[in-house]
Order: sequence, then C-alpha cells, then structure tokens
Amino acid sequence: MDFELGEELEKYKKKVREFALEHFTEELATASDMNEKYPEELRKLSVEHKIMDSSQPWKILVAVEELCRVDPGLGISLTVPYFGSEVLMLFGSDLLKEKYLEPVTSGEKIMGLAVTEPGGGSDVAGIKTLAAKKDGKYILNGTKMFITNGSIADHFIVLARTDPKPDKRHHGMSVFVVESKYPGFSSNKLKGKMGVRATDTAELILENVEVPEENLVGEEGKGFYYIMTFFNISRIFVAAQGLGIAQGVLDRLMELTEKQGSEFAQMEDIQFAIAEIATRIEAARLLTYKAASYLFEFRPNPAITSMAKAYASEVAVFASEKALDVLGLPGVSGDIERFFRDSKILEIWEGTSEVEKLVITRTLRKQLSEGGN
Amino acid sequence: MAGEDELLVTAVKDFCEKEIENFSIGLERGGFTPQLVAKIAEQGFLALRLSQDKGGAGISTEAYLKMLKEFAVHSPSVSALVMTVNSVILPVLENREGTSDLIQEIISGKIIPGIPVDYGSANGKPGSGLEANENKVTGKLNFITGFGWDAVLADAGKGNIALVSGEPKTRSDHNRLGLRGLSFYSAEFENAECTEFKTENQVKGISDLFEDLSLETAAIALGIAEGSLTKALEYARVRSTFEHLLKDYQPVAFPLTRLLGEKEILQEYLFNHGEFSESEKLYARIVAVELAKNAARQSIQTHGGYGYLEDFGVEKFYRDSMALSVMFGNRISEQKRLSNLVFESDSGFI
Repeated sequence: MDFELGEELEKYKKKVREFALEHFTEELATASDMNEKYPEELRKLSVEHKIMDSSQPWKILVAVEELCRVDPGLGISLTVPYFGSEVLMLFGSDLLKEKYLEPVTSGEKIMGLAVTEPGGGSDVAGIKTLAAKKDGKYILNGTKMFITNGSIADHFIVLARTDPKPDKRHHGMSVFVVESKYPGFSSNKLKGKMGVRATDTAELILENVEVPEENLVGEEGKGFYYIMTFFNISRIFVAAQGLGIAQGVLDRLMELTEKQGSEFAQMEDIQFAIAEIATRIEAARLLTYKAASYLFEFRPNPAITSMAKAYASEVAVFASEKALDVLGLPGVSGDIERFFRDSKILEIWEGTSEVEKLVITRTLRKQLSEGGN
Repeated sequence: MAGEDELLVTAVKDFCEKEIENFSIGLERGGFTPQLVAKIAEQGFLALRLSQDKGGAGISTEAYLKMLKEFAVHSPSVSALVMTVNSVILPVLENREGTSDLIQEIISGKIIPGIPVDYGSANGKPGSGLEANENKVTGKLNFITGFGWDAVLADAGKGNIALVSGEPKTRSDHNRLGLRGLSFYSAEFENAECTEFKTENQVKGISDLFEDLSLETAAIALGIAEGSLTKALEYARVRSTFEHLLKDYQPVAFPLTRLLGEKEILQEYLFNHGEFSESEKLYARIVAVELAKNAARQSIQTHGGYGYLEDFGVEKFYRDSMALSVMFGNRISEQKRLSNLVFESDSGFI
C-alpha cells in the first residue's frame, strides 16, 4: 500500500498549483464572484498551459483538488468545460467522439451535461423531457435546470425519454448530443447563486429541437445506465472539489492564525479546530483516493464513491464554517467567506448527500446478499 | 403573548410583508435605501427603546426581543439595523451632551450613522481605533455598518464619541458574507471632519454596548431559525421527489422537526424568562446562534439546488447566521466570558 502520488504526479500537482497561485488573482476571483462572470480568458490560458491533462485520470483528480484549493469558483470553472465528456468517451460512436469530444479536449469548445429538471432534483428517473423519433430525427421537448455551462457551452449531453410509458421508471431513457445552436434551443442564465458564482449555470429550454439520429449516444433506452455510470465517475471529482476547498480553508486558517499572534495561536480552541479540520481532510483524501483507485482500475465501487463524495463535501462545509467561527472578522475580510459560500453546493450537486447515503447502504446490502463483506 | 406585545409583533409582520418581502433581493444586492429607512422610521421602529419623553416608544425588553425576532424572520438585515439603532447608537448618544438634534434625525430616519463592529476579537483586543482632536479624526475603523450613509459614529477615546462625516482616505467593502443590507466596509481616516460628543460621566461607549447585545442577537438568531424552518417545512409539504413528498422521508422530516423543537424551547427561554443574569444572556446567545446556523443549513439542504439561489430567500439565512455569529460577536470571547461566570474565576484561557 503506497500513499504517495509518485514523482510524475507530484510534479504535475506542483505545476497546477503554481498556475493557480499566479493566475487566480484576488481581483479576478472577487470580480468573477461579484459579477457572476465566467472567466473565459483564464480558461484559454489554462488550455495553453495544458492544466487539465487528460492523459491519465489521476492528473485530473489532482488538478481539481489543487485548483479548488486556491479558489473554488475559478477552479471549478476551469475543470467543467469537459463536463459530461466521459459519457462520450465510454458510450459515444467514433463519429460523435471526433465531432464533439476532440474540440472539447483541445479547448476549442465547451460542453455540458443536461440531466436535472425543474421538478426532478436528484430523481433522475423522474425526468419528463421527451425525445420523439420522427423522419429519421429525434424531436426534443422539455426543460433542464441547474445546468453547468448552460449559457456558454457549445453542446450538451442531454438525457430524455424515448419511451413515455416505460415498464419501470428508469427504463426508456436515452442520451443525445444537442448543440446550443440548434433551432428551438434556448437558455436562461441563473443569477443569484450563493457561491461558485464564477461558474455558469442555466436553465435550458428545448422546444421542438430536431436532433440528428447519429447524435444518439450508444443505444436507445440505455440512458439511465449511462448517466449513473457517469455519476460514479463525476462524484469522485466532486469529492476532489471538497478536498480542495477544505485544504484551501486549512491553508488560510493556519496562515491567519499565525498572523493573529502567538497568544491567539496558542489557544487550544484554535489548535483543536485546526486539528479537527486537518484530520477530516486526511480521512476524506484517503477515501477519495481509494474510490479513485477502484474507478481508474476499471472496477468502480459505488459505495466507496458515494462515501467519498458525501464525506468530502461535508468536510468542505465543516472546514469553512469552523474556520470562520474561530477566526471571526479576520476570516471575513479574507477569502474564507467565499469558500464558505462555495462549499455548500457540494452537498447538493451530483446527487445530494441524502442520495449518496442511500447508494452506500443499498450497495452494501447488495454486497451482503451476494456473499461479500 | 401579552396583548400589547402581540400587537407590536403583528405590526412588524404586517410591515415586513408589505415593505420588505418584495424588496428583499434588492436589499441583499444594494443595501438599504433612504426610502426604506424612512418607512422603517415612520413606523417608530427606530425609537422602540428610547424613552417616551424623548420621542420614543419605551417598550419592554421582552416586546423588543419579540420584534427583533419577527424582523429577522423576514430580513435579518432589517433586524440588525433596528437592533443597532435601538441598542447601540441611541443609548450611546443619549448620555452625551449636544446630541438631541442628532437623535431626532436618527429616529426620523434622516441619517443613520454607521458604527464599527470590530470589538469582539478572540484575544479581546479591538482591531480598530480613532484619535479625535479639534474636530478632526485620524485612524482606521474596521467593519463599519454602512446603512447607505457615509457618517460613522465611533468611540474616540476618553469616553467620547465622534461622528465622522469626512471622506475616508481608503475604503474596502466586506459585503459578501451576510447581513448584506448593512453594507459593511472598512475605512481609514486622516484628519477627517468630525463632531465630538463629550461626557463627564462614566457612561458606556460603543464597544461596551456591543458586549451587551447577547439577548438581541439571540432574538435575531431565533428569527433566522424560524424563517429557515418555516420555508423548509412549507417546501417539504409540497415538493415531490422519487414519487413522494419530501416530508415523507425520514432524513428530511426528522432533522426539521427536531430543529423546530429546539427553536420552540429556545423561544420559551428567551421570551418567558423575566430578568436574565449575564450567564443566562450568554447561554441564549450561544445556543441561538448555533441553532440559526443549523436550521439555515438544513433549510438549504431541504430545498436542494433551489435553496442555493437567492430567489428562494433561504441562502441569505445561511450567510446571515454566520455573519451574525462573527460580525456581532465572537464565539471564543463569548465562551471565555461565560466560562469566567460559571467557574467564578478566570477560566477557558489556555
């Protein structure tokens, strides 16, 4: 059992951190947060510097962690232009990969994933968007909500019902690539988020959007399975966001504690807060890396993945609340308050913590019934 | 609830539903407008504690706390404004010479001077201070409540108070966390114009009055908890997921109802207690702030993604509960004070 990242990853991690420290200026972070503006120039710069290196998944994990450690809003903004790409990688045809995946990995285009609906939340099987086949095309109608990159992406992976009356709720769903320039597609940027305000979030409206048949991803009717497979991947990266946020808070708490002077630093309440945050980060990191190890070796473990996602998110929230609590005003005048506002979304997106807990128990019970331990 | 108190709380509720609910996002984004402050003043909400002979209502502590709570259910920022004026600004001016005109301007909403709130650092050392000399002032003030006016009221040494009206040399905003209506900022002054209000008596300054806000902040925290839980309970009753209403799920229903129980018990303690000792005030403050944070966090979680959007009026409670905790107090210094009272000796200092 080796707990080290290895020389190559450590070198890459250092490169990502140095990039973030240099380019995630306080001015840019504050302006993006205040104005709810996606940092497009920063994204282009990150592409030039090859910050999101997809040559191996550990690099992406480490990049997400390090970028969020410096600023969650800007960090997540740089990591989500590829959001949903795994669905194409795993299930898309060569044609779809060439047309829609390659321009995204090269940084030329931005993509998004459109699953959640206004009345659905975490209930993926409850979606109502319809895809009706007609004259060799699919006609999509429906509304998607809380879609990351919703008003800036060039195309989306969209989950829709191809069978309006399936035998089971999670049957009869399919995945399509929908370009934002298709007639009938429109988006409304959602303003007034509490945090991660540098990221773009929108409502998508699909009104008789004609989608070519070849834009069907994989097989018709297997959409729910594809999306659940994707969540088993993406939840690990949300856990990495949590690690980054919590670590960023700890960095700042340690620094501000020293600045407050030795009398402050010697208070045991402060020391205990630091110890509790640091311990939880370490535990969350071990859990996240364990989940990632399973996934990157092509044997995903949904229970461990959900544990990592739920726990790392909880740690991010705990760390930011605790740090503000013990620091008081010095925490508010710095950027910890932004980490505080940013962290809460982690317990909601990509499956709420409640859903993760259900996944954990269901998976464990299934393993037990199959004779596992 | 006593009849008179009930009428006062109803007046607050009616006012908030009419004047605050439709302006709450504007308040969060842009702070108080002079028009809104004028409406608050018209109702007499800025002179609740001032004696009747000075033009105030002179209401009881219990009624005042109930009103602060009700304001906070709708807008913690409005409640914090009412508390700041009634519990800090007016009491500090009342006992000083030459302040009667200023008091009248304040209670009529024509001017609300900001005050610095940087008094509660964990190591007990105020992080700001002013030196006043012949109507000029120099120094730095941290975390001033803006209220839309540039004038600042601050301790100026020797028990005196200075109303600073001159432009600050530098200014930085701290308006992102919570209680955004108060438009917090820090400012550095160099020979800025000011008016000094002196006293020959030993009377409390702003920093002293800040330490006395335990009950008021407990009432605001209680209002945040009630506002958060009311919205969460309403949402859980109507929102379906996985083919059931949210209220049907134990992980939704159990935490909300437990928090509701905590809120009810705290309310009983705060409103039906009679005289409070210093330690009892601190019990209320510490427990109420934690409850507000927990209720607001749970309310966002219940609302899911919608709770993260300002339109639903829930996320502000989460931010405001933390802001109330750190900007109108400091947990470590409060715990130290409480420990000293409980152990009757210096304690909780290592």
